[in-house]
Amino acid sequence: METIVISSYPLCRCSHTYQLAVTRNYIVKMIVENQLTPETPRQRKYTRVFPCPEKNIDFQAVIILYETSDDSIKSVKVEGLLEE
Amino acid sequence: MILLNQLRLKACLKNNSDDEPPRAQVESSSPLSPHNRALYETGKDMMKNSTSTSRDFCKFMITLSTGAIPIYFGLLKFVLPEDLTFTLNQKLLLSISPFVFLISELIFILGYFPKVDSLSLDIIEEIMKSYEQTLSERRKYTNVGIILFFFGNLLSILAVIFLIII
Repeated sequence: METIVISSYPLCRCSHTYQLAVTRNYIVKMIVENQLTPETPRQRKYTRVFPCPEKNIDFQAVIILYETSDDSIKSVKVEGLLEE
Repeated sequence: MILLNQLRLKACLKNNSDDEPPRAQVESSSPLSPHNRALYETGKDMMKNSTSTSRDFCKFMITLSTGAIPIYFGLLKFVLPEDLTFTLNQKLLLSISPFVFLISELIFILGYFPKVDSLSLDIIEEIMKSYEQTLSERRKYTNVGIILFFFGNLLSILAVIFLIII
């Protein structure tokens, strides 16, 4: 489970932490001598709907997740608000 | 395996302070655009209505499959000459498609049959499991039923054409 903090909501201006269910494809690789430099993670953008607990309205947010060839992202779901 | 992945992910999340980039960031947040709101509402409706839609479809197909049998015999009477007598083989050939229609009707009845299940509204996973199970079972019945129904139709057409040619 990965979490994301939306620090300023468009209406309530509060900070909320959400739980994301990110499904990744993990690939186990054998590191060879000439591949010791770590791979730079790629950015992937997703637009997801988040419910605001203060105003009880749904908002959309563009979130950035990082992936490498070892752990490519398959799907991203918003599980809900994480209790703080 | 999944547990191992989660552990690995947690470890990554904890250790990403210096050398690794953060796993999740927010680029922007805004009120839902009218287009996205409409899509979101459509998705909600689709999810809510999907079980009742497939059940209604089964109900409709039960009527259609039942109605197909008298229509088929009516069509035979209309198309073929009245004084025509059938041999045993021809009778068998003509009665295949009504049987196929009957089988498809039975399959649709199974799809329409109410599912008895107990679930707790507090446990989201339980609702999700029950919802997916109902959908997948009904999808199976509708797929088999519709294939049989089309097969029955095809057989009817072929049987009528065959008898006209003979």
